[in-house]
Amino acid sequence: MKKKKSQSESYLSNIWRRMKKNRRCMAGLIFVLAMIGIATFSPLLASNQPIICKHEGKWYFPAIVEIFQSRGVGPHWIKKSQPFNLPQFNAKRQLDPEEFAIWPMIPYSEFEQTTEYYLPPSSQHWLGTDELGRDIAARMIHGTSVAVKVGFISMGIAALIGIVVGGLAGYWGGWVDIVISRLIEIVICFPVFFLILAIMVWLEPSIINVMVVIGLTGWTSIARYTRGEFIRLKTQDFVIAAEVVGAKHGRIMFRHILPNAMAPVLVSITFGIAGAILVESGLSWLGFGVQAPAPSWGNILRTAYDSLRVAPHMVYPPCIAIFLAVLAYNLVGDGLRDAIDPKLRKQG
Amino acid sequence: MNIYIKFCFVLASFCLLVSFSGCGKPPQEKSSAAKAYDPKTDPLVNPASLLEPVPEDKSKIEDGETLILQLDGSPNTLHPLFLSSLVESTVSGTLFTGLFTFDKDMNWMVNDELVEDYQENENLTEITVKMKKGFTWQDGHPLTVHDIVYSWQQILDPAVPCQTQKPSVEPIEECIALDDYTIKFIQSKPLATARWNLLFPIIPKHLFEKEKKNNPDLKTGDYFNKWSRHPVGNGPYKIVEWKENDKVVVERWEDYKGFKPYFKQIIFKIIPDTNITLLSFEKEDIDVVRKLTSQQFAKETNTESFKKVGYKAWGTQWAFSYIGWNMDGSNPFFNDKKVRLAMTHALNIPLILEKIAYNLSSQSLGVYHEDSWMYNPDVKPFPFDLKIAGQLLDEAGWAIDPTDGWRYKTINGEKVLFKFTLTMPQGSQTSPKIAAIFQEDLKLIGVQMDTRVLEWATYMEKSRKHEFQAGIAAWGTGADPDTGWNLWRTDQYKTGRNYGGYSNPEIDKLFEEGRAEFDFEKRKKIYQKIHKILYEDQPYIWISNPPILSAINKRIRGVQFSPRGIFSFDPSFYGWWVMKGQAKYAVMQKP
Repeated sequence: MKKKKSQSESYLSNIWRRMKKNRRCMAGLIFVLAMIGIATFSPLLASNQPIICKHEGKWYFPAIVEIFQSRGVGPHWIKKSQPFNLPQFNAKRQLDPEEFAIWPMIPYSEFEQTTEYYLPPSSQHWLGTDELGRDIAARMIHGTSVAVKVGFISMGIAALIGIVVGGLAGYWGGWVDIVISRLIEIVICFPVFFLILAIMVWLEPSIINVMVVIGLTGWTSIARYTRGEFIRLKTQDFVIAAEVVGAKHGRIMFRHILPNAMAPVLVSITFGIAGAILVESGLSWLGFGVQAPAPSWGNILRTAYDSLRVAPHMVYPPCIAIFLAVLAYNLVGDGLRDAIDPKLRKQG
Repeated sequence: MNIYIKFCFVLASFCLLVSFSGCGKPPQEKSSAAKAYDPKTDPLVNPASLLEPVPEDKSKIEDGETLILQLDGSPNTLHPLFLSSLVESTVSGTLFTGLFTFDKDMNWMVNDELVEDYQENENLTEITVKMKKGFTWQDGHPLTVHDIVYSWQQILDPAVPCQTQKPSVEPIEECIALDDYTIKFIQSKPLATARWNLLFPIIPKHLFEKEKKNNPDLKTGDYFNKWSRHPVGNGPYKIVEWKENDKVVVERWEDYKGFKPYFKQIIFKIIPDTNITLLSFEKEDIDVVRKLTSQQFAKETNTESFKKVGYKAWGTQWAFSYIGWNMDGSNPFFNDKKVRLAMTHALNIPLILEKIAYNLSSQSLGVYHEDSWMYNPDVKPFPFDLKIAGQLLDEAGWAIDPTDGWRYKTINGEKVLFKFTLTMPQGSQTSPKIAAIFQEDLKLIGVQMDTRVLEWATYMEKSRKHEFQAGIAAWGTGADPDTGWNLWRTDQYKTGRNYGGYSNPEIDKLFEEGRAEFDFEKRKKIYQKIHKILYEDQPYIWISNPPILSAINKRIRGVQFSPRGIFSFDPSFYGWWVMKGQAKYAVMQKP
């Protein structure tokens, strides 16, 4: 009996077990993970540089180098050790059968312009080409990283603020609670989208600024959930026990209460991510988000809308991608909520 | 439960998506997509009936018809002193009339409807005009030269913030009412442009004088706020309705003493979105689309639904699109002429004209349009050549760093990367495409370019404050080459439109000479010289001349082209007419 208790599953693994049973939730989770995978390895999926190639007797990995380079983490030695010259290689390849290369699935980069404007989907261009002859599939793949980044980083910022602020309010109560709760109410009143539009006038409209602003305005629901959970948990026995032992307030808040308060906060975060993706798409649609020609789903959709009559095929990929991404996060959020809902626990 | 609701929503939105695409045209065949569009062979472009002039026999003309024009933005005011956009001046222009005007070839004209006699002295310093009697304001108060004198005084009044009007009125030293219907304009210096300075708007003295005490700026306060939305004009149309963000309705003023236009009513429909505009046109909700995008003109108007209702108007305009450099020294790049020339060589203008402008525009070769008299035929376009561009950058000291392939220059011991930001106003469909092409070509010569879209008002504000490195936009050029005065002169950096801080003493001097020269041939030489110097200096990359691209309902005739478009000259849509029996709208009679 005693042994069993010490091995009894924790709150979070209990939730995880329930979530695993929810198929829709798992489908959403798999989609989210796939998105993260695509975003991370986009140069391997769509690039005009080969993944592996043999050029003048030497092996090169240009697309893999690009993974680091395009994210700005490429230390200088990577480029130096791989001084790969694509035009030279292509020219040599025409003549020399010794030259060998494995190309990415979609052998176009997101910026590469061809003269074939508005081509409908074909075996060559899977999703067709856009108004400058760029491959839409390549642009969609490279746009994924924007959606992923915006979702996670903005909600990361929001979660950090929300948990700290909500935790303080819930734990201390009294005046602290009153002041923070009013602050939350004030921040809720800002129409986020228009606030971002206004801020983008003053700041450079980079994706980082978009993420920061969404994060700085999107923490309110997280704070409210955290506050509620803290109020509920602070009178529980394990908290009182910690107090009796003499634990400091910080330790009680973040070591003891927070892990038990995380689940409802996670629900709010997943919905927040879905919202952030929509906000970013909306901003890019208006031209104030990710600056063209860098691809994001929103600005691909914008150009598709401008060419709706000439190339209706362009509108599907970004629409479906945005829709599926938002749906996936919502499914995960729903599943998570069902898993932590005590009313549903008996069934689980 | 929740999830099922969501799934229903998903399904619904999917159906919506699919049905939406159902409306779209099937993708173009590959062969036709590859074939370049040629407006000269398009039967819908400029057909004879569209251009048919007004017939001698006026009984052929439908008299009670309504014209529905599209505006791509909502006007903020119709107050003639404070107009700031084409939308506002188009609407406001129907309500007011003046002593002078200009025709479709941009020739200055005396307005015969209103003017009985016109006298000028040799160097144009004294101009005397005798007005016809019997004209009134729309409230019945007689229109006299005292209104004109009052307007002149108010425009020059420092309390009245009408910055766009002041520069042209300032040279008028004195405005004297000799009697109720005779006025004398005296200008301090003999100027070749003197006549154009008289085109200032006229405001009603009898209404404004009383209110001036309360609101000396003639702009704020209850009275003027109301007046700006429902002005009492003196022109052929009267305002009857203004629905915010929807429409402005003007009706013919039957008591007008001058020429009465053929349309009883004009409705200005406000539709900002280009896609919706074209759909509305095909549904015959609007009669005229002032500005189609080149893509719409070339590719999207060959549908059956368009052919049934409309024609297309295509003409040249004295305007140019450009990329302007900030040369005031705030960035280390564009002060150097070699760098600017390199940029010009790196912009693939032939590709832009073919693929983005669909062969509808011609290449712009400088500040004056090639059809105008001040154009200099000696200028030769700079070819698109990345090799020359690279060489020029090398010469300017921007060398490629072999480790990363980008260009750097050491300035004051600091290694500076050649990376700049191109700003562009929101809403243009072509600018982002031009920017994308430019960016890819610049990469090949080791230059990094970022882009930034700004909302229009912000874009203008940043331009005025010189807070930009490069900007893409378009200017319309005026009828007289002197309109370049506030674009290029050094002293216009602070107050004028010389946003990039271009400074060339020779240009400053030439503009002054041009103003003072009365001999046409000599004057022409001066402006041609300006044209050439500017083009060789490349303070802008001149890209293309945006043409007139309009869609006009089939029943409308009498359309004329001017270098300023199909509106904004005399007669513009006052010369349009509809054949008897082809009327479409019954004019709503007021009870």
